[in-house]
Amino acid sequence: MMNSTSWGALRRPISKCKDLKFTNRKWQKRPRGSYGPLLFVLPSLAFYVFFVFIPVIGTVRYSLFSWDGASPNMLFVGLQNYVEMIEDAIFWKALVNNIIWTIGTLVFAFLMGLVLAVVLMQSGIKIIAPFRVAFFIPVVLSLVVIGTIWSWMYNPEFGTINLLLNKCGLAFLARPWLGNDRTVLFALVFAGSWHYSGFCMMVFIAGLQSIDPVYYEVGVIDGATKVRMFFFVTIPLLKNTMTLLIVNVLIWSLKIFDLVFIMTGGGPYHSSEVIANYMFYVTFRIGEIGYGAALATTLALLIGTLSFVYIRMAEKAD
Amino acid sequence: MRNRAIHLLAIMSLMTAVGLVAYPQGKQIVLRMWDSYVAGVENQLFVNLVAEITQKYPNIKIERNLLTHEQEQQTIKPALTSKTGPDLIYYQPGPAYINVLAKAGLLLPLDKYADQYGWKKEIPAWIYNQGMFRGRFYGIASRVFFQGVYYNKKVFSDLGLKPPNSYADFLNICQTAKSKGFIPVTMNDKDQWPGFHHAAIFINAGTGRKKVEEILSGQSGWNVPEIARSLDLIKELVAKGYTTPDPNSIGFEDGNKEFYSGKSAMLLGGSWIASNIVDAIGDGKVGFFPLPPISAGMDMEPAGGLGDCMVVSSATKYPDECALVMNEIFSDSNTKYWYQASILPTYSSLDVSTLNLSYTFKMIAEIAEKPMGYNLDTILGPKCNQAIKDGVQELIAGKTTGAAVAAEMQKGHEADVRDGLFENWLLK
Repeated sequence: MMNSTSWGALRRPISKCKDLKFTNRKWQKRPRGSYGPLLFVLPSLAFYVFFVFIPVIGTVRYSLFSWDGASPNMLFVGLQNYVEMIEDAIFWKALVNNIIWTIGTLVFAFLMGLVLAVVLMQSGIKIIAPFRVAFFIPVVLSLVVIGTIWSWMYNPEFGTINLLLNKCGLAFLARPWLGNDRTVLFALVFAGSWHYSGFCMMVFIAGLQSIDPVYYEVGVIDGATKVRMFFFVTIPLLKNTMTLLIVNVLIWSLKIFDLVFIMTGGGPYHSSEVIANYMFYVTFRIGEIGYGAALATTLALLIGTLSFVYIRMAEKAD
Repeated sequence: MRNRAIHLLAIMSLMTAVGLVAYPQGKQIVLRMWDSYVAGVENQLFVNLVAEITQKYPNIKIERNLLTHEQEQQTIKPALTSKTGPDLIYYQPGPAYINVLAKAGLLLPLDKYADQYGWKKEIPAWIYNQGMFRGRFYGIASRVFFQGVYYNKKVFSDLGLKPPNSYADFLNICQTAKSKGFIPVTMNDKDQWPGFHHAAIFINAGTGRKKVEEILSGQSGWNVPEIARSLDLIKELVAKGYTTPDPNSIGFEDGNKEFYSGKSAMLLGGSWIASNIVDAIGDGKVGFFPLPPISAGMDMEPAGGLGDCMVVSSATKYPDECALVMNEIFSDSNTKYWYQASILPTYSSLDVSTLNLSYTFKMIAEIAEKPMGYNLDTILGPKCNQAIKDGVQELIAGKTTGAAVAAEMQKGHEADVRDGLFENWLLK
């Protein structure tokens, strides 16, 4: 057991701890405003400045120019690229698709994660770890791999999904999932949600584990059913977890690129276009670097705003 | 001890002398080359070419960097603007590709070397001109390709069909194949770029070479009824159920496999897949015909073009050596490697009959001897190309009309002209 002197020493600033004997004179003479610790963060700071901060500033600058990415001459156009963006029907389509993606991910991944977490946390299931691993595996897979696998599954000729529908007598539901403008976004969102639901599940499990069992014991004494306890005990106590997860889903959905790029490239005819993929298309396929930079800046602003909200909420949750 | 030192000195002198004899042409230099010949026989082609050149010129070392066309398109601009990129580049010819680099001053004009090595005399004018931009010569296209319709000989034989002589014949073949349970024509456009070729095939069959030349020379535009009608043929073919169901959901490789497996009677494709066809189903199993013209009196020609233009970075430290390597790559002594890789070189005086070539490739080589129409993406600018890519997918889905796509093409074409990328190369 720690005595009172030790507790007091820990509470006081270290320079005032007369009961602690320092024999190293250099340590004692060290100035209070030393920048020494900064050396430890310098590598990360340098990395951040060179690979994040400077490129971000560069991108914002490029967005004010008309440039093909190769020519030595860049034409300053001010905010013209942003005006063009506002008038661009494909940009708005991409933004709407991002919003649909967000809602879809909330419906599929978020709810699926919650259901899985609650089911796995039931006392009836003794061996939880293998299930957790099985449901979490898609999270650690690369989105490129996931995109390739789901492209095969959605293939109208040999894909598993149409094959299963045909075998089950549901041939009328079989369709070219990625080639039809009505189904393509839904198909992509579902594949993305399969990837993301494992992450949601793990966060929910962590949230559920932090709930004090006393609440449930009180519920049992009061005669509450499991369903009522879920809605009136579990859900309110998961509020902070849910808030953080929802904002996280928003950010993830806005920056989605890999899956769309691999599975459809934004097609057919931009019907599965999202902002990040459109930015890539404009920049590298058409060669309009300035306009691509304007899209990138807009996307960064959207993500930055949501990140700010996310961080504020995380602080509140703490 | 002294004797040993003398022996050592003598050995070192000998080694130096041998070195000087072995490398008579100066110091060792390294040329970095980007190419898209990433696999199979095409990769082997460049392995052979590099081996031949470095054996002949031991002071030149060629370091290849293999990238797909798409990867190359994404990275070539920063690579060249940084002045640390490759010395030699295989890149697509045309306004959307090398003209962008040439306009930015990133490519070395090669007029001096064209005179030195006699390229201007040797290379047919129509090929030479496609390497030109704003009056300067920038590169040599390395391969001729064309597009049309491959057909499965066994399926045709079983169904009692013969290659068509008219578009009506072609539609009859489609109907017969469909009624017998075959997919008449494999068409794939999930990857979007095959749309360029579909458009080229149908525009060529619908309007003919002369109309396209009129448009390219500025005497006409893309937004004319002939182009609209040609593009509508794509929509009609899909609507009649004569193509792969839902071509927008089938990737290039999957589409080819559909044809190789015998599920379909015909495939819309280019000459560059000849070696793949031979590998997949064997030699002599397929035939090829250009899509017949829709109107009588028009020539039956495949949509042809040039691919993979070799160009030199303006930042290279070794322009003379780059030109030397280019000259070697296209020399008669090395042309055999191109044919062996089932690639039609743009110019060669080699007697092809002396080579052991597949039946399929000989057929391709014979077709290439005849007049051809125009492939589009390598002669049009980036914005017109994007209009084609989007438009063909919409036509396949039945969401638009040929007239609307033709109007978008014209809009894109005008933007490319404004951007200074498109040049009337017919008048060069």
